[in-house]
Amino acid sequence: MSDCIAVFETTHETLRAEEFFRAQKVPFRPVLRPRGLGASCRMALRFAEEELEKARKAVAEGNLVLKSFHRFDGGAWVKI
Amino acid sequence: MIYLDDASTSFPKPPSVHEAMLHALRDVGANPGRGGYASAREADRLLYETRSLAADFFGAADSSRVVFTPGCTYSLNMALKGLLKAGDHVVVCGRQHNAVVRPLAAVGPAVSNFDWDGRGQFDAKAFSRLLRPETKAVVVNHASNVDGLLFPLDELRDAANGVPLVIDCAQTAGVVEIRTGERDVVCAPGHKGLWGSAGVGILAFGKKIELEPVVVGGTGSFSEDAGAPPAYPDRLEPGTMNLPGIAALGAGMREVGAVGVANVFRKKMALALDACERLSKIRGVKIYWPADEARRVPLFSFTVEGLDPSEAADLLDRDHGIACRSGLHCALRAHVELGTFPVGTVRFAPGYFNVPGDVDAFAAAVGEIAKKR
Repeated sequence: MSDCIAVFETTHETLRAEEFFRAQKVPFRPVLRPRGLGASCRMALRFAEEELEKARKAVAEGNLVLKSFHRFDGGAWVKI
Repeated sequence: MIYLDDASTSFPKPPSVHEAMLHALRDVGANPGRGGYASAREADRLLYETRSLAADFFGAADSSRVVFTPGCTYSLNMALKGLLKAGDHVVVCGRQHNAVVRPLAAVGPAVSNFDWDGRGQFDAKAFSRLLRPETKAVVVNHASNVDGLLFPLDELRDAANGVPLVIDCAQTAGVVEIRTGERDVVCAPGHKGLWGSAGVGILAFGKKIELEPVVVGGTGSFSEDAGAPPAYPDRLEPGTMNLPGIAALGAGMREVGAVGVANVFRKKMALALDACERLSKIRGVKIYWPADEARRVPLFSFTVEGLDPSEAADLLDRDHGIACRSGLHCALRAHVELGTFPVGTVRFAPGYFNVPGDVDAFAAAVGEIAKKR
Protein backbone atom coordinates (compact mmCIF):
# COMPACT_ATOMS: atom_id res chain seq x y z
CA MET A 1 0.00 0.00 0.00
CA SER A 2 1.17 3.48 -0.85
CA ASP A 3 0.29 6.99 0.27
CA CYS A 4 -2.36 9.23 -1.25
CA ILE A 5 -2.79 12.98 -1.38
CA ALA A 6 -5.99 15.04 -1.55
CA VAL A 7 -5.61 18.42 -3.23
CA PHE A 8 -8.26 21.07 -2.65
CA GLU A 9 -8.95 24.32 -4.42
CA THR A 10 -7.80 26.70 -1.68
CA THR A 11 -6.15 26.63 1.73
CA HIS A 12 -9.54 27.52 3.18
CA GLU A 13 -11.02 24.41 1.59
CA THR A 14 -8.09 22.28 2.77
CA LEU A 15 -8.63 23.39 6.36
CA ARG A 16 -12.33 22.71 6.01
CA ALA A 17 -11.43 19.27 4.66
CA GLU A 18 -9.38 18.54 7.77
CA GLU A 19 -12.56 18.78 9.85
CA PHE A 20 -14.35 16.22 7.68
CA PHE A 21 -11.33 13.90 7.53
CA ARG A 22 -11.26 13.93 11.32
CA ALA A 23 -14.99 13.24 11.47
CA GLN A 24 -14.50 10.23 9.17
CA LYS A 25 -11.51 9.14 11.29
CA VAL A 26 -9.04 9.37 8.42
CA PRO A 27 -5.50 9.76 9.81
CA PHE A 28 -3.82 12.45 7.71
CA ARG A 29 -0.86 14.77 7.64
CA PRO A 30 -1.01 18.29 6.18
CA VAL A 31 1.84 18.63 3.71
CA LEU A 32 2.96 21.21 1.22
CA ARG A 33 1.40 20.43 -2.13
CA PRO A 34 4.01 18.63 -4.29
CA ARG A 35 5.27 20.88 -7.09
CA GLY A 36 4.04 18.56 -9.80
CA LEU A 37 0.46 19.04 -8.58
CA GLY A 38 0.01 22.72 -9.34
CA ALA A 39 1.83 26.00 -9.05
CA SER A 40 0.95 27.18 -5.59
CA CYS A 41 2.36 27.28 -2.09
CA ARG A 42 -0.70 25.56 -0.66
CA MET A 43 -1.26 22.56 1.52
CA ALA A 44 -2.63 19.14 0.72
CA LEU A 45 -3.72 16.25 2.94
CA ARG A 46 -1.57 13.08 2.85
CA PHE A 47 -3.00 9.79 4.08
CA ALA A 48 -2.57 6.02 3.66
CA GLU A 49 -4.09 4.47 0.55
CA GLU A 50 -6.30 2.15 2.60
CA GLU A 51 -8.12 5.25 3.87
CA LEU A 52 -9.07 6.38 0.36
CA GLU A 53 -12.71 5.34 0.53
CA LYS A 54 -13.20 7.08 3.86
CA ALA A 55 -11.48 10.15 2.40
CA ARG A 56 -13.90 10.10 -0.54
CA LYS A 57 -16.76 9.90 1.93
CA ALA A 58 -15.37 12.91 3.82
CA VAL A 59 -15.25 14.88 0.57
CA ALA A 60 -18.85 14.01 -0.22
CA GLU A 61 -19.98 14.66 3.34
CA GLY A 62 -18.43 18.13 3.42
CA ASN A 63 -19.39 18.97 -0.16
CA LEU A 64 -15.71 19.88 -0.46
CA VAL A 65 -14.23 21.48 -3.58
CA LEU A 66 -11.68 18.76 -4.36
CA LYS A 67 -9.21 19.30 -7.19
CA SER A 68 -7.88 15.74 -7.26
CA PHE A 69 -6.72 12.62 -5.45
CA HIS A 70 -3.24 11.28 -6.22
CA ARG A 71 -1.39 8.07 -5.35
CA PHE A 72 2.39 7.87 -4.95
CA ASP A 73 3.35 5.37 -7.60
CA GLY A 74 6.75 4.65 -9.14
CA GLY A 75 8.37 7.69 -7.57
CA ALA A 76 5.71 10.19 -8.70
CA TRP A 77 2.22 11.32 -7.76
CA VAL A 78 -0.29 9.83 -10.16
CA LYS A 79 -3.85 11.15 -10.42
CA ILE A 80 -6.53 8.65 -9.44
CA MET B 1 -10.68 60.41 30.25
CA ILE B 2 -14.29 59.40 29.72
CA TYR B 3 -14.44 57.93 26.24
CA LEU B 4 -17.79 58.44 24.49
CA ASP B 5 -16.78 57.97 20.88
CA ASP B 6 -17.58 54.30 20.33
CA ALA B 7 -19.00 55.10 16.90
CA SER B 8 -15.48 56.07 15.78
CA THR B 9 -13.80 53.09 17.39
CA SER B 10 -14.38 51.05 20.51
CA PHE B 11 -12.17 51.68 23.50
CA PRO B 12 -10.96 50.10 25.69
CA LYS B 13 -10.45 46.70 24.07
CA PRO B 14 -10.78 43.55 26.19
CA PRO B 15 -7.40 42.17 27.40
CA SER B 16 -7.92 39.02 25.31
CA VAL B 17 -7.82 41.22 22.20
CA HIS B 18 -4.41 42.63 23.18
CA GLU B 19 -3.18 39.14 23.94
CA ALA B 20 -4.40 37.66 20.65
CA MET B 21 -2.64 40.36 18.69
CA LEU B 22 0.56 39.87 20.65
CA HIS B 23 0.35 36.09 20.22
CA ALA B 24 0.07 36.43 16.43
CA LEU B 25 3.03 38.81 16.32
CA ARG B 26 5.26 37.11 18.86
CA ASP B 27 4.42 33.41 18.61
CA VAL B 28 3.02 32.80 15.13
CA GLY B 29 4.78 35.31 12.95
CA ALA B 30 4.45 33.46 9.64
CA ASN B 31 2.50 34.49 6.57
CA PRO B 32 -0.69 32.46 6.00
CA GLY B 33 -0.95 30.64 2.68
CA ARG B 34 2.71 31.00 1.89
CA GLY B 35 4.44 27.97 3.41
CA GLY B 36 4.09 24.42 4.65
CA TYR B 37 6.09 24.71 7.85
CA ALA B 38 4.50 24.54 11.27
CA SER B 39 4.14 28.27 11.96
CA ALA B 40 2.73 28.93 8.48
CA ARG B 41 0.16 26.21 9.10
CA GLU B 42 -0.67 27.81 12.43
CA ALA B 43 -1.17 31.12 10.63
CA ASP B 44 -3.46 29.34 8.12
CA ARG B 45 -5.44 27.86 10.97
CA LEU B 46 -5.80 31.18 12.79
CA LEU B 47 -7.12 32.76 9.61
CA TYR B 48 -9.48 29.85 8.98
CA GLU B 49 -10.86 29.78 12.51
CA THR B 50 -11.46 33.53 12.55
CA ARG B 51 -13.16 33.32 9.16
CA SER B 52 -15.42 30.52 10.40
CA LEU B 53 -16.22 32.56 13.50
CA ALA B 54 -17.07 35.60 11.37
CA ALA B 55 -19.30 33.45 9.14
CA ASP B 56 -21.21 32.28 12.21
CA PHE B 57 -21.37 35.81 13.60
CA PHE B 58 -22.90 37.20 10.40
CA GLY B 59 -24.99 34.16 9.53
CA ALA B 60 -23.10 33.53 6.31
CA ALA B 61 -23.82 30.04 4.97
CA ASP B 62 -20.48 29.65 3.16
CA SER B 63 -17.38 30.72 5.09
CA SER B 64 -15.33 30.94 1.87
CA ARG B 65 -17.51 33.97 1.09
CA VAL B 66 -16.30 35.82 4.16
CA VAL B 67 -13.31 37.97 3.29
CA PHE B 68 -11.01 40.02 5.48
CA THR B 69 -10.30 43.55 4.28
CA PRO B 70 -8.37 46.51 5.70
CA GLY B 71 -11.61 47.99 7.10
CA CYS B 72 -15.28 48.72 6.49
CA THR B 73 -14.45 51.47 3.98
CA TYR B 74 -12.44 48.96 1.97
CA SER B 75 -15.24 46.41 2.25
CA LEU B 76 -17.70 48.96 0.86
CA ASN B 77 -15.32 49.91 -1.95
CA MET B 78 -14.82 46.24 -2.82
CA ALA B 79 -18.57 45.62 -2.77
CA LEU B 80 -19.56 48.65 -4.84
CA LYS B 81 -16.68 48.52 -7.30
CA GLY B 82 -16.95 44.74 -7.51
CA LEU B 83 -20.66 44.85 -8.36
CA LEU B 84 -21.19 48.05 -10.33
CA LYS B 85 -20.05 49.85 -13.43
CA ALA B 86 -20.90 53.19 -15.03
CA GLY B 87 -24.35 53.02 -16.61
CA ASP B 88 -25.80 50.84 -13.85
CA HIS B 89 -28.37 52.15 -11.43
CA VAL B 90 -28.45 51.94 -7.64
CA VAL B 91 -30.94 52.90 -4.97
CA VAL B 92 -29.36 54.38 -1.87
CA CYS B 93 -31.15 54.23 1.49
CA GLY B 94 -30.41 55.67 4.89
CA ARG B 95 -28.15 58.49 5.95
CA GLN B 96 -25.09 57.77 3.83
CA HIS B 97 -21.49 58.04 4.91
CA ASN B 98 -18.70 59.13 2.56
CA ALA B 99 -17.50 55.51 2.56
CA VAL B 100 -20.47 54.91 0.24
CA VAL B 101 -20.90 58.33 -1.37
CA ARG B 102 -17.33 58.53 -2.65
CA PRO B 103 -16.99 55.03 -4.16
CA LEU B 104 -20.33 55.56 -5.89
CA ALA B 105 -19.09 58.88 -7.28
CA ALA B 106 -15.94 57.12 -8.48
CA VAL B 107 -17.84 54.31 -10.23
CA GLY B 108 -20.54 56.60 -11.63
CA PRO B 109 -23.82 54.65 -11.60
CA ALA B 110 -27.10 56.58 -11.73
CA VAL B 111 -28.22 57.01 -8.11
CA SER B 112 -31.75 57.28 -6.73
CA ASN B 113 -32.08 58.22 -3.08
CA PHE B 114 -34.79 56.72 -0.92
CA ASP B 115 -35.20 59.19 1.93
CA TRP B 116 -36.80 58.00 5.13
CA ASP B 117 -36.34 59.56 8.54
CA GLY B 118 -37.64 56.69 10.67
CA ARG B 119 -41.08 58.26 11.19
CA GLY B 120 -43.95 56.03 10.17
CA GLN B 121 -43.68 52.72 8.40
CA PHE B 122 -41.14 51.88 5.74
CA ASP B 123 -42.99 52.56 2.49
CA ALA B 124 -42.22 49.51 0.36
CA LYS B 125 -44.35 50.76 -2.53
CA ALA B 126 -42.54 54.09 -2.71
CA PHE B 127 -39.24 52.25 -2.54
CA SER B 128 -40.21 49.79 -5.28
CA ARG B 129 -41.04 52.65 -7.63
CA LEU B 130 -37.35 53.57 -7.64
CA LEU B 131 -36.24 50.16 -8.93
CA ARG B 132 -35.41 49.92 -12.64
CA PRO B 133 -34.42 47.04 -14.92
CA GLU B 134 -30.83 48.26 -14.73
CA THR B 135 -30.80 48.55 -10.92
CA LYS B 136 -27.80 46.46 -9.86
CA ALA B 137 -27.77 47.14 -6.12
CA VAL B 138 -29.59 48.68 -3.21
CA VAL B 139 -27.10 50.32 -0.86
CA VAL B 140 -28.22 50.86 2.71
CA ASN B 141 -26.63 52.40 5.75
CA HIS B 142 -27.92 49.99 8.38
CA ALA B 143 -27.59 52.68 11.05
CA SER B 144 -26.54 56.30 10.81
CA ASN B 145 -23.35 57.33 12.55
CA VAL B 146 -24.91 60.77 13.11
CA ASP B 147 -28.39 60.27 14.55
CA GLY B 148 -28.54 56.49 14.97
CA LEU B 149 -31.40 55.95 12.47
CA LEU B 150 -31.73 52.16 12.05
CA PHE B 151 -32.95 50.97 8.67
CA PRO B 152 -35.31 47.95 8.59
CA LEU B 153 -33.28 45.40 6.63
CA ASP B 154 -35.90 42.66 6.39
CA GLU B 155 -38.51 44.99 4.93
CA LEU B 156 -35.95 46.45 2.56
CA ARG B 157 -34.78 43.00 1.44
CA ASP B 158 -38.36 42.03 0.62
CA ALA B 159 -39.00 45.25 -1.26
CA ALA B 160 -35.72 44.95 -3.21
CA ASN B 161 -37.24 41.89 -4.89
CA GLY B 162 -33.97 40.08 -5.57
CA VAL B 163 -31.75 43.08 -6.26
CA PRO B 164 -28.49 42.66 -4.27
CA LEU B 165 -28.33 44.54 -0.99
CA VAL B 166 -25.04 46.20 0.00
CA ILE B 167 -25.27 46.80 3.74
CA ASP B 168 -23.02 49.25 5.55
CA CYS B 169 -22.86 47.79 9.06
CA ALA B 170 -20.27 50.23 10.42
CA GLN B 171 -22.52 51.10 13.37
CA THR B 172 -24.41 47.84 13.78
CA ALA B 173 -21.90 44.97 13.59
CA GLY B 174 -21.75 43.59 17.13
CA VAL B 175 -24.66 45.79 18.24
CA VAL B 176 -27.56 44.45 16.16
CA GLU B 177 -28.00 40.85 14.95
CA ILE B 178 -27.14 40.63 11.25
CA ARG B 179 -27.76 37.62 9.01
CA THR B 180 -26.25 37.51 5.52
CA GLY B 181 -28.91 36.70 2.95
CA GLU B 182 -28.07 34.98 -0.33
CA ARG B 183 -28.17 38.29 -2.21
CA ASP B 184 -26.61 40.39 0.57
CA VAL B 185 -23.17 41.94 0.78
CA VAL B 186 -22.42 42.76 4.42
CA CYS B 187 -19.65 45.28 5.09
CA ALA B 188 -18.40 45.59 8.65
CA PRO B 189 -15.51 47.10 10.58
CA GLY B 190 -13.50 44.97 12.98
CA HIS B 191 -12.58 47.73 15.40
CA LYS B 192 -15.95 49.16 16.41
CA GLY B 193 -18.68 46.88 17.70
CA LEU B 194 -16.57 43.74 17.24
CA TRP B 195 -13.91 45.11 19.64
CA GLY B 196 -10.95 44.21 17.42
CA SER B 197 -8.12 46.43 16.28
CA ALA B 198 -8.12 49.01 13.51
CA GLY B 199 -6.97 47.74 10.11
CA VAL B 200 -9.35 44.82 9.66
CA GLY B 201 -12.81 44.72 8.16
CA ILE B 202 -15.21 42.02 6.99
CA LEU B 203 -16.93 41.51 3.65
CA ALA B 204 -19.50 38.69 3.81
CA PHE B 205 -21.67 37.86 0.82
CA GLY B 206 -24.27 35.32 -0.14
CA LYS B 207 -24.15 32.59 -2.75
CA LYS B 208 -26.04 34.63 -5.36
CA ILE B 209 -23.39 37.37 -5.32
CA GLU B 210 -20.27 37.46 -7.50
CA LEU B 211 -17.73 40.20 -6.86
CA GLU B 212 -15.02 41.29 -9.27
CA PRO B 213 -11.76 41.92 -7.44
CA VAL B 214 -10.68 45.54 -7.09
CA VAL B 215 -7.10 44.72 -6.08
CA VAL B 216 -5.15 41.75 -7.44
CA GLY B 217 -1.79 40.24 -6.57
CA GLY B 218 -0.14 37.22 -5.05
CA THR B 219 -2.33 34.85 -3.09
CA GLY B 220 -0.05 31.80 -2.81
CA SER B 221 -2.56 29.94 -4.99
CA PHE B 222 -3.29 29.51 -8.71
CA SER B 223 0.18 30.94 -9.28
CA GLU B 224 0.30 29.79 -12.89
CA ASP B 225 -2.47 32.25 -13.86
CA ALA B 226 -2.04 35.98 -14.48
CA GLY B 227 -5.66 36.61 -13.54
CA ALA B 228 -7.20 36.73 -10.09
CA PRO B 229 -7.92 33.27 -8.59
CA PRO B 230 -11.38 31.99 -9.47
CA ALA B 231 -12.13 30.74 -5.95
CA TYR B 232 -13.14 32.68 -2.84
CA PRO B 233 -11.72 33.79 -0.46
CA ASP B 234 -8.44 33.89 -2.44
CA ARG B 235 -10.07 35.90 -5.23
CA LEU B 236 -10.60 38.87 -2.92
CA GLU B 237 -7.62 38.50 -0.56
CA PRO B 238 -4.44 39.37 -2.48
CA GLY B 239 -1.24 40.19 -0.64
CA THR B 240 -0.26 39.48 2.94
CA MET B 241 -3.13 39.38 5.37
CA ASN B 242 -3.13 41.42 8.59
CA LEU B 243 -2.81 38.37 10.80
CA PRO B 244 -2.31 40.22 14.13
CA GLY B 245 -5.39 42.30 13.37
CA ILE B 246 -7.38 39.24 12.34
CA ALA B 247 -6.34 37.47 15.54
CA ALA B 248 -7.49 40.49 17.53
CA LEU B 249 -10.78 40.51 15.64
CA GLY B 250 -11.30 36.84 16.47
CA ALA B 251 -10.76 37.55 20.15
CA GLY B 252 -13.09 40.55 19.97
CA MET B 253 -15.86 38.54 18.31
CA ARG B 254 -15.52 35.84 20.98
CA GLU B 255 -15.88 38.49 23.69
CA VAL B 256 -18.94 40.03 22.02
CA GLY B 257 -20.37 36.56 21.49
CA ALA B 258 -19.86 35.71 25.17
CA VAL B 259 -21.71 38.86 26.25
CA GLY B 260 -24.35 38.47 23.55
CA VAL B 261 -25.18 41.05 20.89
CA ALA B 262 -28.60 41.71 22.44
CA ASN B 263 -26.98 42.40 25.81
CA VAL B 264 -24.46 44.78 24.24
CA PHE B 265 -27.35 46.65 22.64
CA ARG B 266 -29.33 46.70 25.87
CA LYS B 267 -26.50 48.09 27.96
CA LYS B 268 -25.50 50.76 25.46
CA MET B 269 -29.14 51.71 24.95
CA ALA B 270 -29.67 52.16 28.69
CA LEU B 271 -26.75 54.60 28.75
CA ALA B 272 -28.03 56.45 25.67
CA LEU B 273 -31.57 56.72 27.04
CA ASP B 274 -30.27 58.04 30.34
CA ALA B 275 -28.09 60.61 28.57
CA CYS B 276 -30.92 61.64 26.25
CA GLU B 277 -33.34 62.14 29.12
CA ARG B 278 -30.88 64.31 31.02
CA LEU B 279 -29.83 66.37 28.02
CA SER B 280 -33.43 66.96 27.01
CA LYS B 281 -33.90 68.86 30.29
CA ILE B 282 -31.04 71.26 29.57
CA ARG B 283 -32.16 74.53 28.05
CA GLY B 284 -30.70 75.18 24.60
CA VAL B 285 -29.75 71.56 23.91
CA LYS B 286 -31.30 69.94 20.86
CA ILE B 287 -31.11 66.18 20.35
CA TYR B 288 -31.08 64.35 17.03
CA TRP B 289 -32.30 60.79 17.56
CA PRO B 290 -35.32 59.04 16.01
CA ALA B 291 -38.29 59.05 18.38
CA ASP B 292 -39.29 55.48 17.55
CA GLU B 293 -37.19 53.17 19.73
CA ALA B 294 -37.36 50.39 17.11
CA ARG B 295 -35.73 52.69 14.57
CA ARG B 296 -32.58 53.68 16.40
CA VAL B 297 -29.28 52.40 17.72
CA PRO B 298 -27.63 53.63 20.93
CA LEU B 299 -25.93 56.78 19.65
CA PHE B 300 -27.25 60.28 19.02
CA SER B 301 -26.19 63.78 18.11
CA PHE B 302 -26.88 67.04 19.89
CA THR B 303 -26.24 70.74 19.57
CA VAL B 304 -26.04 73.51 22.15
CA GLU B 305 -27.80 76.67 21.04
CA GLY B 306 -25.40 79.49 20.28
CA LEU B 307 -22.32 77.29 20.44
CA ASP B 308 -20.38 75.80 17.56
CA PRO B 309 -20.31 71.98 17.99
CA SER B 310 -16.54 71.93 17.67
CA GLU B 311 -16.32 74.42 20.54
CA ALA B 312 -18.70 72.33 22.64
CA ALA B 313 -16.62 69.19 22.01
CA ASP B 314 -13.45 71.12 22.80
CA LEU B 315 -14.91 72.28 26.13
CA LEU B 316 -15.99 68.72 26.95
CA ASP B 317 -12.45 67.55 26.32
CA ARG B 318 -10.49 70.43 27.83
CA ASP B 319 -12.55 71.16 30.92
CA HIS B 320 -14.12 67.78 31.65
CA GLY B 321 -11.89 65.11 30.09
CA ILE B 322 -14.75 63.77 27.98
CA ALA B 323 -14.07 62.50 24.46
CA CYS B 324 -16.88 63.12 21.93
CA ARG B 325 -16.65 63.64 18.21
CA SER B 326 -18.04 66.81 16.63
CA GLY B 327 -18.51 68.12 13.09
CA LEU B 328 -19.93 66.39 10.04
CA HIS B 329 -18.82 62.84 10.92
CA CYS B 330 -17.94 62.14 7.23
CA ALA B 331 -21.69 62.14 6.56
CA LEU B 332 -22.58 65.35 4.76
CA ARG B 333 -25.96 64.16 3.50
CA ALA B 334 -27.06 63.12 6.99
CA HIS B 335 -26.41 66.63 8.25
CA VAL B 336 -28.21 68.19 5.29
CA GLU B 337 -31.23 65.98 6.03
CA LEU B 338 -31.11 66.82 9.74
CA GLY B 339 -30.63 70.54 9.08
CA THR B 340 -27.30 70.62 10.90
CA PHE B 341 -25.12 71.42 7.88
CA PRO B 342 -22.58 73.09 7.75
CA VAL B 343 -21.53 73.15 11.42
CA GLY B 344 -22.63 69.63 12.28
CA THR B 345 -23.30 68.26 15.74
CA VAL B 346 -21.64 66.73 18.79
CA ARG B 347 -22.15 62.98 19.02
CA PHE B 348 -22.82 60.89 22.11
CA ALA B 349 -21.71 57.33 21.34
CA PRO B 350 -21.34 55.17 24.46
CA GLY B 351 -19.55 51.84 24.45
CA TYR B 352 -20.28 48.62 26.28
CA PHE B 353 -17.58 49.42 28.83
CA ASN B 354 -18.99 52.80 29.82
CA VAL B 355 -20.75 52.99 33.17
CA PRO B 356 -23.69 55.09 34.42
CA GLY B 357 -21.25 57.41 36.19
CA ASP B 358 -19.87 58.39 32.78
CA VAL B 359 -23.32 59.59 31.78
CA ASP B 360 -23.58 61.53 35.07
CA ALA B 361 -20.33 63.33 34.31
CA PHE B 362 -21.29 63.88 30.65
CA ALA B 363 -24.72 65.33 31.43
CA ALA B 364 -23.31 67.58 34.14
CA ALA B 365 -20.62 68.82 31.75
CA VAL B 366 -23.10 69.59 28.96
CA GLY B 367 -25.29 71.39 31.49
CA GLU B 368 -22.38 73.54 32.56
CA ILE B 369 -21.35 74.30 28.98
CA ALA B 370 -24.93 75.22 28.02
CA LYS B 371 -25.22 77.55 31.01
CA LYS B 372 -22.01 79.40 30.12
CA ARG B 373 -22.68 79.87 26.41
